[in-house]
Amino acid sequence: MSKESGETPPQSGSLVDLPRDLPFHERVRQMREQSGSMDAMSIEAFVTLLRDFYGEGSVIRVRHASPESTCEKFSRLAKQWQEQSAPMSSSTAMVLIPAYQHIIGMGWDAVPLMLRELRDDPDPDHWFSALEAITEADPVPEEQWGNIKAMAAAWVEWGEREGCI
Amino acid sequence: MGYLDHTASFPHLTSANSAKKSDETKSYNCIAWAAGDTANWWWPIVGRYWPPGVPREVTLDAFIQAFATVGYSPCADGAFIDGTEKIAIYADLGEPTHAARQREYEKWTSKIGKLEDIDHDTLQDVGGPLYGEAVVFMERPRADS
Repeated sequence: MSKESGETPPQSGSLVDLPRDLPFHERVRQMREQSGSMDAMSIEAFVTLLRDFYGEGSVIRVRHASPESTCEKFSRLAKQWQEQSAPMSSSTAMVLIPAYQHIIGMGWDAVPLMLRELRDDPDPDHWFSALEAITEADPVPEEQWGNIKAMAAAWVEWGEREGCI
Repeated sequence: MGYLDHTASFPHLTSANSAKKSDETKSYNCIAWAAGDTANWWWPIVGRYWPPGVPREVTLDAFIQAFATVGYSPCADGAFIDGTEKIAIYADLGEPTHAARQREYEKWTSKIGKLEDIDHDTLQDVGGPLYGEAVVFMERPRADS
């Protein structure tokens, strides 16, 4: 940030009610003291502060850093999905559970994690739809459809062949 | 978590009206169990077992056709008849969700998704927000009669 302090004229509609001749970082500090924490409303106010400082027409992008590693995120979502899908017989309903959709949303990062689950679990879970959605692969022959252990073995073999695990 | 931990899905199921009969397994579901198959997971989508020639549709008609391939034919209700084995197909908003098989007088058996097989006293015991209610009944001669 390179804007000189004290040069921004007051603008209407600002959410930040602080003296405008304060240096940028001092305004941020006082705003955080006023809000108590950097919650969503504070982030909105911070974005407005940035826009005030850099002027109308400036483009502000906010990216929320994930506090979780890929493995942690997968473990959390997998646990949620497994608990929610446990009493279901419907393969259709299982795939529609939001946690499963979020795992699909993780993309290729989740592929080795699911393949390891299929390899290491003596009672493998139904990761197949997610793997198909992400990889566009289809390694299970039709005669094995529904034979969960055979399907798991086919995907593990595919993963080893592709160097995913 | 066992089947009794899913109280929101099965509000009528208790330890008094049900009993666990197997360990948990993800290898077969209730539809397979009702059809007598413990080697496959039955569901009418690509990638799961479905009897050849039966439409891969999540409809009661398709499920009736699926159970017909193992000898069942539609009947009026789940009333016990000596020498006859019955199943009940459950649906929620018209869409099949579950099947239970009649074991004996006032005793049904269900595979609870990826969890255990259980015995339960009535069809209503596993009814509720997840499975809906029993809407279709089918019968075949009991093999051991």
